[in-house]
Amino acid sequence: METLEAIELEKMPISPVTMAYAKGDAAVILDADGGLGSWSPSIGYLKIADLDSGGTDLSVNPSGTVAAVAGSDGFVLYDLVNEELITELRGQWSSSVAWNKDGSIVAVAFGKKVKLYTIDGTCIRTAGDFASTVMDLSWLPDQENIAVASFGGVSIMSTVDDIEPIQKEFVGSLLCLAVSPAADWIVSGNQDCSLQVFKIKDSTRLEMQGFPRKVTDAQFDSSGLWLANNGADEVTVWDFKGKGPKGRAPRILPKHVYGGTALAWHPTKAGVIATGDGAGMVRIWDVAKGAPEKPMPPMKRIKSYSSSEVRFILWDSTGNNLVVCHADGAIYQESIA
Amino acid sequence: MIAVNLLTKNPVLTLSGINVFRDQFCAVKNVNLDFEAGELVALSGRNGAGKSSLLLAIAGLTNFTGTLKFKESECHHGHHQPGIGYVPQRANLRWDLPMRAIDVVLTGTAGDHHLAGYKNKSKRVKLAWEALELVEGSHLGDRLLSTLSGGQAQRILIARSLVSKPEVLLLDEPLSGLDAPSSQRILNLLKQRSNEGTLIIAAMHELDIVQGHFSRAVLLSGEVIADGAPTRVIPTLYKNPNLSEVTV
Amino acid sequence: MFLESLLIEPFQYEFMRNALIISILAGIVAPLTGYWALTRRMVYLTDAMSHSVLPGVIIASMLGVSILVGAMGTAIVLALVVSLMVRKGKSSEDGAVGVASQALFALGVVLASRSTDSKSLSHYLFGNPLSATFTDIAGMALTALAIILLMLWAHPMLIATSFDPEHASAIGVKVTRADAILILALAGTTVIGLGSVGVLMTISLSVGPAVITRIFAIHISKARFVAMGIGVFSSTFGVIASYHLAIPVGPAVALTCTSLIALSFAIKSFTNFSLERTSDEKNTEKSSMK
Repeated sequence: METLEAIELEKMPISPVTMAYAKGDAAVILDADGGLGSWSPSIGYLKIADLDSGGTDLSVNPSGTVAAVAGSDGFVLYDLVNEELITELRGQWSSSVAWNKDGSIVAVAFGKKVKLYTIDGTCIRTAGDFASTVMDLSWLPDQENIAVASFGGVSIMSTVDDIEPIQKEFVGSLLCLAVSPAADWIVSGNQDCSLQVFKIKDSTRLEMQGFPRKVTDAQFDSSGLWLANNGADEVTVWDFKGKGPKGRAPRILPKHVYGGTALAWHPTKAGVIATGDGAGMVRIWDVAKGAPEKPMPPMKRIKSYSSSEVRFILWDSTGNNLVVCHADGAIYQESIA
Repeated sequence: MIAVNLLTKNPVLTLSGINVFRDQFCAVKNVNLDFEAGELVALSGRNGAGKSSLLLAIAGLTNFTGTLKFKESECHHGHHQPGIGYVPQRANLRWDLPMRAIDVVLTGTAGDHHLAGYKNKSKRVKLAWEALELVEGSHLGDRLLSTLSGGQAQRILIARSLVSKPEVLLLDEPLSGLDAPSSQRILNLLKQRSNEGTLIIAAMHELDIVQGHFSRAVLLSGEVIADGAPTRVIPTLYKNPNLSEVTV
Repeated sequence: MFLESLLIEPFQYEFMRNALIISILAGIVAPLTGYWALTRRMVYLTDAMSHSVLPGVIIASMLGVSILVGAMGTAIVLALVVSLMVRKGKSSEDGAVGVASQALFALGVVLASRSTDSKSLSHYLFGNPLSATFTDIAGMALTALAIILLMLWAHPMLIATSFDPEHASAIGVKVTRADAILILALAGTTVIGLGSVGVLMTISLSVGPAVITRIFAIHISKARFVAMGIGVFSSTFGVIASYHLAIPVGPAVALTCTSLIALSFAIKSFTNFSLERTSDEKNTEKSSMK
C-alpha cells in the first residue's frame, strides 16, 4: 500500500462531529462542544454560534436556512440566515435529528421521547416514552412515519395519526438505523456487534452476528440496492437486489484501519461509496465491480491531508465533489471528475 | 488415566456432562470443560447462546444436571461455594438506592457467616476498603451510587466479589456499555487477578478484545462449539459472512 | 398559657396518655418496616396484609386469644394462598395478592358484623387507641421491641438482598429468609397499627416517612432512624390534633404524615435541597455507546 504524504493544511480548532450542506457549496459543521461553524472551499472555516449543548447530530433543512442540532444536553433549532436561535430544549440526551423531505417538520430524539417541531420552533407532537433513550431515528420514505431505534427494538411512529407507535422487535440495543428508499427494509447496527435486517412486509428478520466491533453505521445507497456497514477492518456491503441479501455473500472493502470510520454513498450513482478509516485514508469504491466475498480494490484513493481519523465525508449534490473532515480539524474538498 | 491427569494438570473447575436449565428450558447442553487456576477465559456467542446461563450454573444460581466440581468438591444449584465469585450484568441492579459505593462492596461480606452481624463490623469494613483498593476504587468509596459512571460501577461490582478473595471470578458482560479507557482499566484489573492465580471466566461480546487479551475462548451456541486459543476459535468474519434468517 | 393548653392539657387524662404511648410505638415500628417495604417495592403487599389480618384479629378476640396470634395466623394464610396461586394457578404475584387479601378482608367484615365484641369494626379499621388498656400497651410494646431487634439484626441481609438479590443468593445469603423476616415484621407492624391508628392508616405511617427520606435522598443507613423520627412526630402531632379537633386519631396521624410529604416536596422543589448532592456524571457512558 503506497503511503501518501500528509500535506500541510490549516486545521480548524475544533473536534468535528458531523456536517451537512446548507446553501450552495457552504457546509455547516457541528463540533463536539456544540459549536456550529460554516465551511466552504473558498472561505474556509468560520464559527457561527456556540450552542453549548454538546454535539451529536446535525440536520439542515432542504432550503439550507435552518439547522437542527442534537447534543448531549438537548437540542437547538438555529436560523442560519439571521444567525439567531429559534428555539431550544435542554435537559436530556438527544442523539439524532432529521428534517422531513419538504422541510416542514424536524423530528428530534429527546431522552426517551421523540418530538416534532415546525420550522418556527413550535412543538407539534411528542411521542414516547420509548423503551430506552432513543439512539437513532429515520423518516420513512412515505414522509409520514418515523422509525425510532432504542433498546429492544425499532418502533414506527406516525406523525399524522394519533396512534401508539408500533414496536418491531429486534433483540438487544440498537446503535444506528437505516431505512431503504423503497421502505421495504429496516436495518440496525447493534451494541452486541451484530447487524439486524428487518423486512417490513412480512416481518422476516435476518441477522449477522460476530462482527469484531459494534456496528455504529449502516447506510443504504440512493438506489436501495446496496447497504454498507462498519464493525470490522473491512466495510461490508450487502446486495439487496431482488429477494434481498439473505444467504448472499457480501462485497468486502478491505483494510480500514480501526474500521470504517466514515461512510458516504454517492448521491446519484448506485453502488459508488466513499469510505474513510482511522488512519485518515479516503477511498472510493464501485461495489458493483467487485465479486462477492472477495476483498476488492478501490476505484480511487483520495490524497491524504491528515493521518487522523476521518470523521465525516460529504458528497455535494452533483456528486462531483467530496468534502472530507478529519478528527484533528483538517477539512478539504476534492473534486472527483 | 495418569496421562490425562498430566495433561489437565490441576483443574480448579471441572464441568462434566452439564446441561443448564432456566426454568424448564434447557439453555446449554452437554458441556465438558476443565479450567485451571490463572486462566483468562472468554465465553463468546450471540445473544441467547447460553453464556449467562452457564455462568449462573457455575455460581450455583440455576438448575443443572451433570457434575460440576470446584477443587474436588461437588457443586449444586442453591449451594453456595465460598471460593466462587459472581459479577452479574450491571444494568439490572438498584443503582437508584441511596447508598454509597462502599455499602455495595460491604454487601459482599453479607454471606460470610463468621463475619455476619455487627460483631465484626470493623473487620468487614476493612475487607471492603481493601477490595476497593484492588480495583483502584478507594476514591469512589464514599460516592453515592447515582453519581458513578458505568466503568466505576463495574469496578465496584468487581470489588464486591473480590471481598471474599475468590479463586474463581465469573463476570457477565463486564465491558458492556463502557468506553475504551474504562474497558481497558477493567481488562487490566482482570489480567492482574488472573496473573495472581484467580481463574477468570467472562461472558464477552467484544470479539476484538477477546482476540487481543484473553488466553482462551469458549464459543457457545446452545452447546460448546469450539474451545481454545481465541485466534483459532473466533471465526474470522470473512470466512463465511452472510445474513441468515432468525426465527423469533 | 396557650402552649400549655395545647400540649399539656390532653395528657392529663390517662386514656390520652395511653393513646400517645401506643401511637408512638406505631410511629417507631411502622416507618422502620415500611422503609424496607418501600425499598424492596413491597408496598402493595404491605397494604394487602393490613387488610387481610382482619379475620384473624376478630377470630382471636372472639376466642379470647391474643390478637397478635390471630394477626400472625392470617398473615401466614395470606402468604400460603398467594404462593399456591402463583405456583399452581399460574397467577401473577400482584394478582394473587390482590385477590387473596380482598377475600380475607371480606371474610373479616362478615365476621365483624356477626361478632358480639364491644370493639366495633370501625375501631379495627380506623383505630381506637383511646380504649387501650395497660395489657394492650404491654403487649404492643413487647411486639415492637421484638420487631425493632429483628430489623436491626437483619439490616445487612436486607441491604444485600435489596440491591442485588441474585448476588446475595450467590454468596449464601438466604434471600427468601430476608423476605420472610420482612413479611413477619410487617405482620407485627400491622398488629401494632391495628391498636393505634387502625388497619387502614398503618400504610401511611409505614410508607410516608420512608417517602420523605427518599425525597431528600437520605443515606440508607441513616434513613430508617430519620423515618422513625418522622413517624414519632406524626403520631404525637396526630394524637394532639385529634384531641383538639375532636377527630379520630388514625386519620389525624395519616393526614399529618401526608402533609409532611407535601411539605417535603415543596421544600425540595424550591430549594433543591438534599442531604446528599448528586452530580450528573453518567454521560461518559452514553457518549461511548456510539
